[in-house]
Amino acid sequence: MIAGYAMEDAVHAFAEKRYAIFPAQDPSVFAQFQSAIRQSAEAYLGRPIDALDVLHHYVTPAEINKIRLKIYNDLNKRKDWKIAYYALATDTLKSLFGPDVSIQIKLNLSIQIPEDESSMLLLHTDTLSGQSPFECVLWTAVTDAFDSNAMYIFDEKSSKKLYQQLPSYQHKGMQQLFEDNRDNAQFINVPAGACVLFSSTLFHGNRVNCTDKTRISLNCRFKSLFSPEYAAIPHERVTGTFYEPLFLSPVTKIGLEYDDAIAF
Amino acid sequence: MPSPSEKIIGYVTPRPFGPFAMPVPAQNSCLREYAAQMGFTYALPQCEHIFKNCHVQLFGTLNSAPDGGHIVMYSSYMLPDVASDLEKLLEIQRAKNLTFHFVLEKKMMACPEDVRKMLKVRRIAAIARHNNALKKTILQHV
Repeated sequence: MIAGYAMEDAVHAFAEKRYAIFPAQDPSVFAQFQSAIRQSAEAYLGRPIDALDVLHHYVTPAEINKIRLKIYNDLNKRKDWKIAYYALATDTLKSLFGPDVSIQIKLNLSIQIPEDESSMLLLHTDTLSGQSPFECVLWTAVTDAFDSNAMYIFDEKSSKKLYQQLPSYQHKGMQQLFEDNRDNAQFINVPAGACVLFSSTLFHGNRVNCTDKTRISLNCRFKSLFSPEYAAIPHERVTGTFYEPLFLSPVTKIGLEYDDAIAF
Repeated sequence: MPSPSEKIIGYVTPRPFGPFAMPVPAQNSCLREYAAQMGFTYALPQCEHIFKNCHVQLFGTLNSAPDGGHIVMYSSYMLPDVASDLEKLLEIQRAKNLTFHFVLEKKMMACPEDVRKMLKVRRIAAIARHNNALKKTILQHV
């Protein structure tokens, strides 16, 4: 489902599969992100580039992390990035999370240049690292994602199966778990400007990019303000250090202002 | 000094390790800086899972590392505590000739014997900590 933005379709797909694919709701905001990334890359390189998907013509794998950090820092310096990123899927996010929403503190950037093995994020779920199962990831393709430069995702049923298999892969690792279940992986081939909204409970990842194009994508997480967070061990992926409030409903504002500490 | 193209692969954990707890982004910054100082190209780390004694990502990192590869983590306390897991790790280290780098301990360990030696020091440190607590308890009661 890419052609046009229909919030109902996205919400329905999400409810059914725990992920939804749709074009950015506000294409002009997407264009601003794309342009900002290009400007930042050109500032780092000190010269113009032909296109973002040929970034590998200008940088080596050894340099890729430096340019990624430069663009990441530039994007996160923009005061309006949180509202802008939300605008890529306003209606869907509002429908799923309601008026009280938290957003991840930082906007993440992935750059997968051809044949680069140093930037891979193998099979994982966000919840396995301590993030809230009430969270969703909004992933946006900045360049076309296709073939081996596309991310993959496992649907609800397959993800549950992978969870159950995890302990028996202690010594074999996640890559082997992926190889043994790759038939169930769904590769997300989408054009630049497409968004994928998926639950943090779903397994996903990427592979070595064997295409001749660089893939660039953005990702950021949302959850409803008061939804539970993983608390069994102390860690930083909680409100204040990982998420922060983006929108508060009028009722929530009243509740937060209410002071019942009256001394008699 | 490694060649500029030589990679060092990171490993981070969201769990407390030994007597420490450190946010993942802070671990990542330290590893990146270490890689730069040592002249390696930094390969992004896989993040371990939250479950106690789970080292799926660590073993995945070791299994996918090239022969003679380098692995960097913040502390040796992030190595497995379970004996069978540790033995498996040392077996892979020997078979693949891997070098572990521990930023906190400022140690580079190219063979299982080095790791075992360090673990012995760690046990002594744990006993010393325990003894200090015992000393305090005794002092409170005399």
